[in-house]
Amino acid sequence: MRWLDWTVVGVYLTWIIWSGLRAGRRTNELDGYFRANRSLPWWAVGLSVMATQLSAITLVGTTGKAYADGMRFVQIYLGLPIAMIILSRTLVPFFYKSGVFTAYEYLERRFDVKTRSLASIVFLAQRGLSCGVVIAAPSIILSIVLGWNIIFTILAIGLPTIAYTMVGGVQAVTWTDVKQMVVIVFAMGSAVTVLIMGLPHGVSAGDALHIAGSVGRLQAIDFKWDLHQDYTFWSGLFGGLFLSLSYFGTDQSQVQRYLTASSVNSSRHSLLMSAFVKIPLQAMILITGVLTFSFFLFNKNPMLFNPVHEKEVLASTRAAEYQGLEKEYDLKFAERQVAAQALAEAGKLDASAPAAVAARDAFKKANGDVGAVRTRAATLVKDVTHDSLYKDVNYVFPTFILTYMPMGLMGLMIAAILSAAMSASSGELNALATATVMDFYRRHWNKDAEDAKYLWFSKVATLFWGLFACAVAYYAANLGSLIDVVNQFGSLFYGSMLGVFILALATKSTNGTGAFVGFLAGLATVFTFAFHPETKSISYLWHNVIGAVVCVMVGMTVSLFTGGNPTRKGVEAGPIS
Amino acid sequence: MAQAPAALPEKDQDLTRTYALVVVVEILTVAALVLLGVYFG
Repeated sequence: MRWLDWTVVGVYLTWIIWSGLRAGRRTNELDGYFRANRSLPWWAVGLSVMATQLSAITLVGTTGKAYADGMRFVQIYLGLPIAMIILSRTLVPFFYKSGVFTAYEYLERRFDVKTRSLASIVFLAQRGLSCGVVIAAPSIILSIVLGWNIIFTILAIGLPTIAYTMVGGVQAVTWTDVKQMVVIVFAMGSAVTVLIMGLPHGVSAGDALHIAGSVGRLQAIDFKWDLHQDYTFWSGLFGGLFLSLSYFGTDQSQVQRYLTASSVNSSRHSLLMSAFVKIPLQAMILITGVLTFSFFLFNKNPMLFNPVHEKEVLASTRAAEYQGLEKEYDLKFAERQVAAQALAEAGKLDASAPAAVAARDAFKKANGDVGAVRTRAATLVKDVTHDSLYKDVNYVFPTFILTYMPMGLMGLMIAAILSAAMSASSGELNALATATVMDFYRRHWNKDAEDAKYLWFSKVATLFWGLFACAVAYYAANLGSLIDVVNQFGSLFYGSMLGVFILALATKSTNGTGAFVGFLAGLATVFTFAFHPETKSISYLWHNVIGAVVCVMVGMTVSLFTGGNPTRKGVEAGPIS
Repeated sequence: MAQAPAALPEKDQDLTRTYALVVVVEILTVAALVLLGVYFG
């Protein structure tokens, strides 16, 4: 990082904190703090919905996935547009017209207080931990590649976020989200420009995509039916549908976003914005990763992108073996570079021409050879350090940023990574504070306090969850690669949570006991599937389907045997008394 | 003094066409992604 990069990062942080504090300066009562007095325009809410979902893990991890595995990851979003239509027709108008602050508040009205409390506790536990991971992931990467202290990077993300979220509430969160999305899009555009300009003379962006495509990097859609694969058309469409329904429909960090819109139609439009934009946006991020793959065919990169264990390996008894692999890697890299150049030139010929076929085969072999050396090096690192989960895909894009981005733009990319982490965590902190205050403090301990008292407690709750997330981030940083395991944590809970809301909205005969037992049964089943040796290889996307189905079936059955719902309270919406 | 008229309840907008457009855009996006793999693959 040079002086201009530091200046850009400094200006970004100052701008965001200042505008965040300014946006919420008139927030002096609870409705303004948690729902912005239902005054925000649909486009700002829509950008906030997307910003909350787009964390630094998405930005850095997705590009890394595309580098290593191609564009298949985009399939996870195939269910999202359908989910947005369903939510727009069902839960969105329902929550909005009910006048609730939290999604779980409605569960008490429909079922009972224990179902509301259980749902809210599950949200607090799961989202509190994941907020820590959202901060930890970029903190670890930035600390390793920039050589910064991990506590410094955690606090650089955590403290400004806590400050503006605590002072400004949801208005500060939403308006900073809008600015952060602009920073992210602008920075990604500049990265794509640098990637294309970094290709050698005679190799166009189209040639780069042809080369990447020859080794399957552009195979985005896979129609194979395989429950054990994470990313297929079917797992994305069905598993992704349930995941999106649950995340956008029952997770307070998203529900709270669209409760701030100025009308129910604005709320719907804010979600439908994601339905239109999310897949193309994600595809563009993945294409950036694919272009990074092509860029590193012609520009030298380290054998392993994650340098965290390099010193340890070089100090071990197997240092000579590692250095031998590095020499072999240099050789294979040069061979692949020649093969890639030849393939680019052959691309101008007819694809079925013998010279083009031979160039493609030669490049595939050369790329396989480079991959084989990298795999052997990673295995050696794992053997020496006993870090069985070691991998380096998350370090691909940061390595490009820090090695090849010009001065100033490097600072802009670091600001974009900070933006992604801050926009995701600020929405989560705000939602965690809302659930704490509305579902517990006001519901159980202090029902008739003045607004000022609730507002004060809301700020304390935001501070508490912010510090909790920073502490989790520090702990997660020490877990190293386990962070990826924690990342799939949400799918253990989402399906069952969705199941409870399906019971609430789509069935009239379910009672509180049925919903409560169904919720617990769904959670137990998903945990069993996720950790049982015979079923744990099933993709985590299907956990969302399993949880929802089990919760609904058990909930309805238990209700049948416990007297059903005598009042037949159904789906009517209206202000909660 | 004349009283201000009470605010009319918001009318639910018919978004059927928008929903249909979402589905059409998704089908076209998936088709484009398939073609991307075929053309560059």
